Amino acid sequence: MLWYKNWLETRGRLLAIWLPVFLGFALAIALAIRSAAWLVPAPGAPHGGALVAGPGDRAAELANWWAFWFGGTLPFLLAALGLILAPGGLVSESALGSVSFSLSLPASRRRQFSVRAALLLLELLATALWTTLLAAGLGELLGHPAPWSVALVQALLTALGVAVLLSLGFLLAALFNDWAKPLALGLGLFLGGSLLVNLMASFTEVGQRLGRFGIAALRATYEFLFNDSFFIAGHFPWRHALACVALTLILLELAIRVTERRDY
Amino acid sequence: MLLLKPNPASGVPIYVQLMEQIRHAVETGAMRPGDQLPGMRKVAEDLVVNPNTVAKVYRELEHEGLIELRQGMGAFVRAQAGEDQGAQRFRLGQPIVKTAVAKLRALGLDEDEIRRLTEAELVHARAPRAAAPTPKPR
Amino acid sequence: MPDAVIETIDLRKRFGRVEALRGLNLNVPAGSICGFLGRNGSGKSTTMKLLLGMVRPDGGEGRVLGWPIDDPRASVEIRRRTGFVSEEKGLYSYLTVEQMIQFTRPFFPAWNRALEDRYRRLFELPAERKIKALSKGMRAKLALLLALARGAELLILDEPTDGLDPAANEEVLQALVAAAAEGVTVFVASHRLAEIEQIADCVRILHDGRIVLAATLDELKENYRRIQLVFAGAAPAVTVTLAGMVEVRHEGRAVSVLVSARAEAIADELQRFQPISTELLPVGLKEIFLENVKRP
Repeated sequence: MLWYKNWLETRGRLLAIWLPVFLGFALAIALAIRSAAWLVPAPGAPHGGALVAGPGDRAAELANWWAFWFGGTLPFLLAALGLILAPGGLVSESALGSVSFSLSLPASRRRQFSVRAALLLLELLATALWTTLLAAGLGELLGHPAPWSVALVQALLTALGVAVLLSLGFLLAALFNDWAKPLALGLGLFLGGSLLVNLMASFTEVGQRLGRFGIAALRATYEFLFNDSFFIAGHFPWRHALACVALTLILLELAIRVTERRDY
Repeated sequence: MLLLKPNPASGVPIYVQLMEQIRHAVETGAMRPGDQLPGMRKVAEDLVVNPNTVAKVYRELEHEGLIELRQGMGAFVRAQAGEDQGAQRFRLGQPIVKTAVAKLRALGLDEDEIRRLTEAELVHARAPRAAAPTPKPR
Repeated sequence: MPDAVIETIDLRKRFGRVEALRGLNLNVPAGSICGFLGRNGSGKSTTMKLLLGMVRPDGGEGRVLGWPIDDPRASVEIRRRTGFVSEEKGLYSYLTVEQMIQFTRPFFPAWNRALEDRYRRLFELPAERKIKALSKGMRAKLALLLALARGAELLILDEPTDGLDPAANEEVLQALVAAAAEGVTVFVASHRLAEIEQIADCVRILHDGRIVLAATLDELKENYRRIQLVFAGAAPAVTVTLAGMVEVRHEGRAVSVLVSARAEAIADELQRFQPISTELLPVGLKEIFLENVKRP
């Protein structure tokens, strides 16, 4: 019943994200059916211009459409979802007072943690897949024929990237036994780091180099996690996929071990 | 048979209180030879006392010969045909105590005071063992 | 001699610089209702958490139902056979009563459907209400139902009647007595000494990180006495000299001696002071408790 209980705990939040996204798509599709033009992202969008193995002269437009989707929108959506779904589990129960009940059940901490983590990853994957399907459908309507299977595989890859971040979140929460602190820390580091990097880049010579290094590092991380090369290059990025899977598993295992050692 | 809830705060242990209640029931005829006592478990739950305590009560009463525990059937008041010494002495002593208590009450003493007087008397009754003779309490 | 359902040997636990338990030797006999007494912060909850594997010991060892408490896999076995109600009585607030029961049931192969039904009706728990909408008393009763219905051999309860109205209180005590009648061992921490006096057959007092008193309630009631001596003139200086004397108080022409054993012998001895009256008064659990948890 652990799956069911965790489902009940997260479904409210999941649907709270799914509903507006679905409505957004529904609206967009309805509008597309009437008139297409203003929805198509402008050429020159980030990662734009790359060619896709697809039918000839529409390739560039298609690339822009998918660049819009996989280059930014989907990763952002999934990351936001992760951020909202992640708080919970034994860490939150500690604060809310039901951890004594959970830990008095004949279910190991490993099992309780793993079920929740697995469920969240599945929810992440499901979200990636259905939203991508709708995006593909919308694309079709706008006159961009969609390479369905390719899109779905790319969705999976993007979800993998977010899974790494989610696992990191789990580990930090387990270490702090708190969700607020890691989230605040993560956001703070990210925003603060970007700000610092940008500031430094604008002022000094050393700053500029550090700045460029910082930006390059951020970009590299971003590109690693939200790798859309499959879509662009056409061949499955095995090393990237395996690296993501390995990282996810390692981070989760560490989180489990921290949880097992803690006094509640 | 209606058993009253024992008072845990009283100086008298709960099992003694319960034994007294049952003995009293038998001596006053509220329970007759052959009558079945309520099950131990039921007594424990109704009076909200420890089941081991009730078990002890029944065991002790069986030891005294007041009741008998029949395997698989329950506890029954024994036919008092061959009443044993202890129960008889007790029955003979009861009216003496009854009269004494009535007299003490007539003097205006309450339950606690009567009990203390009795305890003191019992302690002093043993006093001859001590080295110096002691005066009796007034 | 019944087996010990819970036994710890020299159990130790510290939190930072605070030594919560300094060599706990706890022994709870099978089939008993055992009262676990101690001041606030004495370590009762910590002890219970140690027994259930929520907290790891710093030293010593412990066994519950024969299984060692510091082995994670053994701990799962302990929890399969133990019902626990924590002090907070926290449950999943987003579930309904029905869902909470459905969630808990599959974890316990020994789950007793008849008991579940009985307590659902007796405690009048509304199946479709969310736990966050339950009153404190209802939550406590639900937590107790979940502990009782799982067919456990041992119940570990932390202040189960705390905050309950008198009627709910009585229902809970009855449920505990009913469980004990079935052979379940009940290990209950409580500040309600009157209740412990009523249903427990043994007590364990925790103080300064150790068990300072472990006895059956009958033993305590039979052995503890307060000897009240009254004198014609000024009271003589009686001091704690004989074995069994715990504390002596002088009040004008009276001397009050608390003894933990040999009351009659001590009373006899004290006759040499020639009191004009001697009384042996019973001592309640409250006084015994207070005497054993005094600050040094």
